[in-house]
Amino acid sequence: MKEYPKEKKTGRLQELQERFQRLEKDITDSETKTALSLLNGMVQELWKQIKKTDSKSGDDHSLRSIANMYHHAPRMEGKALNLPLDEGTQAPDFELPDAEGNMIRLSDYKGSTVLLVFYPLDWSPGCSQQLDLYQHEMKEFEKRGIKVLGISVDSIYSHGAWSAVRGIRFPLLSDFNPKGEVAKKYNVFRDIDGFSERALYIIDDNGIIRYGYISLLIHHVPDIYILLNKIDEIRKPVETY
Amino acid sequence: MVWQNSNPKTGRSDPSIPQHSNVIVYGTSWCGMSQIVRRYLDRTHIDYEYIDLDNNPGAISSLKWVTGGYARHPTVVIDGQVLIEPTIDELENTLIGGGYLEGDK
Repeated sequence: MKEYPKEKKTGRLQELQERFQRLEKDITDSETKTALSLLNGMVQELWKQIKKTDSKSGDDHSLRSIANMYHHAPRMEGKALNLPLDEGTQAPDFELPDAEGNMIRLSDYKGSTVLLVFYPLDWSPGCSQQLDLYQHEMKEFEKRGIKVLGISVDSIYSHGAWSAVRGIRFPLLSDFNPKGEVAKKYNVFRDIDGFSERALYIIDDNGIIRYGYISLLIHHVPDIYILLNKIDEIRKPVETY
Repeated sequence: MVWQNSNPKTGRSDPSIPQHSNVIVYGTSWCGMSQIVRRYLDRTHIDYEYIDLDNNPGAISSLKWVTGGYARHPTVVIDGQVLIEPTIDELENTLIGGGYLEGDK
């Protein structure tokens, strides 16, 4: 269904309209002024038509409005405070509940390559975009045999609601109690904030860390092109002589 | 960048599809939505010019001109039509309207 984030568009359109109105007194009567006025009228008519289309949406629109709340949420900013664990070392095992309350262990994934996605908080701007991105890329991950696991300090109930609203279908694990215990094991917990860095780990089928990355600025979503290249590099069979 | 004069579904040359060379994405490498938009265009085999605002700060003024003063990313310009922080649905609808994609996907 076609989507028009009502609040954002309305706010921007209103602001532009106000600026347009303020200009009116500075423009002397002329054909140009008439033409500008006509153009503005056309914009208004188009806007009305869009609003008519918009009003046809029901529950789906409400859900999308909730999913898009991050557009207006307070910004999250800050420099990275930690460094990732060394590549080539054993990934610490852990057991955490997913949104359905199932206990998930990293060791359950032995034999598969795992992408661990530590992110600060459900519902926040950068995290909403980052996890949307990974859901969009799920076929690419699957094609490469990658299992994606998201981890944050949010509760299983927050994970359940957030993933339902966003359409996220890979597991989100709750590092809730003791808070951030797994993030601490992976050296990505931000003590001053009470949540994790935005960090990625690629763990190979033997449980070895092959790639660790922490965003230098917490609102920066890691570059997907670099990530996919890194995965391809890791999956490339090592040539022996 | 050069528009591939081919049917996106069949990949075959299709003279009925108009020539386009005017899809521009203003974004940054760390913006999640910019990445989603670029990957969508990659997957649908639509050629586009990508302008990284961090690497091309001079492009910010041209971005503001087409958006009425906003330097939001991603902004996508399709045949002069400006989409500021579009959803994938908005992007797709505009691409269909411009003949870049078929509507019955």
